[in-house]
Amino acid sequence: MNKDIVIRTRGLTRYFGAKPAVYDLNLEVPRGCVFAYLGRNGSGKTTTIRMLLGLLQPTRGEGAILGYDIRALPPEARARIGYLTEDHQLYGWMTVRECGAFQSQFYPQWKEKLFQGILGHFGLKPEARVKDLSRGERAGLCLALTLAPEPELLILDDPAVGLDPVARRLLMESMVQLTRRSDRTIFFSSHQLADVERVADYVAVLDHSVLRACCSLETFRNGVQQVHVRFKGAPPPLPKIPGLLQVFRKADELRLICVRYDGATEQALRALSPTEIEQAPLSLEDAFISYLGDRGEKSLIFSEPEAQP
Amino acid sequence: MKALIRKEMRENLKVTLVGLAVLLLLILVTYRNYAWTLKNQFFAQDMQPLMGNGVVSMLSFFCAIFGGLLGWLQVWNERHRDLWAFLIHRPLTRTQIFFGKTFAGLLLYLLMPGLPLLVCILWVAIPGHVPAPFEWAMALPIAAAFLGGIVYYFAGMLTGLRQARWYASRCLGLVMAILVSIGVMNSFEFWHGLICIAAGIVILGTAVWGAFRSDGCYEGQPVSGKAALTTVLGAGLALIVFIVMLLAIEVAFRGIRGDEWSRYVMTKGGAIWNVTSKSDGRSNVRRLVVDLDHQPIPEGKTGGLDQSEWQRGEATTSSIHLPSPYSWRGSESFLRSYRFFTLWRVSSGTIWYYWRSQGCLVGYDLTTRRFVGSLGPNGFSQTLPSAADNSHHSVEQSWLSSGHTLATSNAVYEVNLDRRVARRIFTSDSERILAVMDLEKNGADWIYTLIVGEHSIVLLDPQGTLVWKQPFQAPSGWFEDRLKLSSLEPADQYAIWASEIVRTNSPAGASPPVLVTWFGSGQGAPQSVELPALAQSHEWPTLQKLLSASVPPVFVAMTPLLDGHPWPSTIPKELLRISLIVALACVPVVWWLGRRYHFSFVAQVSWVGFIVLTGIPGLLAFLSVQEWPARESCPQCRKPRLVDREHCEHCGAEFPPPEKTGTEIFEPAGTAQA
Repeated sequence: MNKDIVIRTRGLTRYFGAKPAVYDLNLEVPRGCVFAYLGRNGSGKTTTIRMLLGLLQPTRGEGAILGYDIRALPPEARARIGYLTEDHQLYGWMTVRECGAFQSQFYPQWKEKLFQGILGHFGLKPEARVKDLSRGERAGLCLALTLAPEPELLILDDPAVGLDPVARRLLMESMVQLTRRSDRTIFFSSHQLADVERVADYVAVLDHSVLRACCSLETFRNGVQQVHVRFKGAPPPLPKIPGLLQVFRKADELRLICVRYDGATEQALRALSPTEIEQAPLSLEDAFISYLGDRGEKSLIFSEPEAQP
Repeated sequence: MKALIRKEMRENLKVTLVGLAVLLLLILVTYRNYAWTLKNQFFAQDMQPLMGNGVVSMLSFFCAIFGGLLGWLQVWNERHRDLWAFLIHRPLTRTQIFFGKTFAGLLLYLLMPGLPLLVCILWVAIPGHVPAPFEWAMALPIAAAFLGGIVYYFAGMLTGLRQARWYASRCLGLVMAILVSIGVMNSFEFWHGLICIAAGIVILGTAVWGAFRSDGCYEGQPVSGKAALTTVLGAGLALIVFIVMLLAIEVAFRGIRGDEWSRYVMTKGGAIWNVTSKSDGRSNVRRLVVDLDHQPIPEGKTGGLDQSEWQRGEATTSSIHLPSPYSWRGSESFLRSYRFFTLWRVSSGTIWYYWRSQGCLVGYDLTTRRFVGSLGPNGFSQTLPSAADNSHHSVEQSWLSSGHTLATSNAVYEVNLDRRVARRIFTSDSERILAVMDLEKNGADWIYTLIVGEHSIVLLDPQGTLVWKQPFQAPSGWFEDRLKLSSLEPADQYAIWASEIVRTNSPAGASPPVLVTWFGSGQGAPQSVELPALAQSHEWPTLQKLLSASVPPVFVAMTPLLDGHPWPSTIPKELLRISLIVALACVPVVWWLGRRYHFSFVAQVSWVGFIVLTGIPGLLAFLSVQEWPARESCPQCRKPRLVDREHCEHCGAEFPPPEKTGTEIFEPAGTAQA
């Protein structure tokens, strides 16, 4: 295995009953990057992560993480991987201090100073019981428990889900500030596109269990483009355009969102005799929503114009 | 792993303390009841609380419930998906996690209930606490109850781990634990029960270990884990299928249970009737009663004898216990106090027992609860007899003995507890004495002593005078109920029944003829009659035939062993044949499913072998454990293919990649670096 690839899957597939949750996933995550794993609810993000960590057996296909087969991860591999779960579940009866003491005994390279630092960052008292912590505080404690062993690979399953904006920002900033290191890879799934835009180098997008995009953030942003096509009257029917995601039809204008707007696409649009073709910027959030939203044409004309007196 | 053990101990300490409180309460209530019994002099056989049926049952229930709950909680506390992931993602192997949890759980179980039970046993062992004989072997029933709880501990753990529905196969581990308990309850020796418990622990423990390796699924387990899980489910289903079949037969097929059987009974007047009972399958038993000349007994207006009339007329008949030719079958179970001692009687503030291992009577003062002394052939002593003294005292004392005599292998002594003396009234020089029974008139006056020797039966009066003697041959085969005594009216009249197998050692098989001898005061010489053998059907009852269809053939084949019969000559062949036919009928189902899901040849043959041995329960276990993968149509050959294979099993084609939409955005990894 290439030493610069920390996660690699080939045809990784998982069925639940007759329904594929992840289908034929081919993924490569380079070392040292922040890799965002995106998709709508139920698209297979958590299933992928659980398969990567050997918590769920794949139906077929294979995968390796830090060079180890995901079907039989040895303890030494687990010691190098930090995993932050979605619900930030911990033992409710433990205090914050006890959680740290429990976790530290499994990791010889435990950094107590880092642990205490993150606790301080989140304002967590060592004697507080886990069951009494707010969701944001619990997330902070989980982050501290995950980061203090200094893992080589950090896998975060939607770490900010359910947090209020302040807690979310605190968590993401801590994560980036404290973890960003050239030799550390962060693989995280998220719905928070602003966070993704701020921290990710790479994005992978799952759509209905199938990987549809895996590229740098920049490539994704550039790949999804918006074009306004204006006409003198009502726009004509649109021919088949490769990579078309969505079309919004107005009275005298078509707004197209498509993947890879190139010469061939422009030529197809020019054949409709428009008065103007104009490219417009698209935020990552809009690009992502368009990419994963319902495909096809939508009309923005909801009623006939009122008659002039 | 130490951190994990500490965490488990701490996490489950609360439930352990609650369990301790409950156990202490139960022990307290038991002690209060025991003290009340002593105070009010309601003496019974369970004067030794370690051997009391109620105490052992209560502790067995407690250990089973607590063990099961502890095991279940140890897993259930962490069954939330993310918490389980937090646990499993330790830098430990799953086997280490299993051992860490199990070590902590068993340590807690050892502390509670292990420690309190040990304290209780030690308390009973200290003289002055319990006015009854004590041997360390008397603690074995409680040890069995305690060890049985470990089986439930693993069963609880498996129930928590299994990825199955509660109403389906999830709780079958607990059913198997119940089967183990049934095995222990029916064990004669402690080590028999220990084998049952050890087997349960090994099988359930392996199944739990396998479940830890695969998050509770069947797939992904090592072969030993799969085999153990399948055994657990098979055993649990065997019990459930048996019960369901029994209920179904009771409800739906009652009409076809027309079983018929005959037996001799004796009336209180000393007449012998031949009673043929026939069940019509609806809980009604019709009896045809004839005398020995085949004349029907005069009927009332109902045309037969009703139940109360029947009970009033039949003489009380009891078996006389003889030493068994089977060393482990003949004695009492290790769970029963009769194995160690028999409550003799209470006399002048002293409670007397016949203590088997000492071969003498022992007395305990009811006030101080301390040992008073022993009374045996050598008279009274304030100590227990030495090993040399008691070596020849090995006669089985009949349960019905009213406590006038004490027997050794060659002599019978009259015992006077008030004066604490033993007087020899009978000596046997030529044969060994096998059993002795004192006979009383109206439940009080001692009128006879019946002595069963190897070659004769002797009746003595209380002065030791011979009343009559009858030839007799001690059994070498199966003996149960072969020597019986009927108490007649008037109260000093008796009849003794000896069946052929006892008298002549005739080979088993045909129903033996019976010799009946009447004797009693004022009758002169005893009269005897030889009864002809009763016609005995060699057909198994319909109910058992139907039930055997649901029982695994391997169980049917092993049943003689449970009763101590010689094996394999006594295997019920007809029942085994029915069970095997049903098992073989299940094989095509397994074969077809195996081919449909493309099992390996070894797997398919193994499953077929398992089904042949286990029948319907095995088939259900097979259906329960398998996780049937979905099938999709192969785009190349159009046949349904399994989704868990890399290639189509029909044409070898790979799975097609996802359909392209034209919106894919891919670039090689490493294009962008932070």
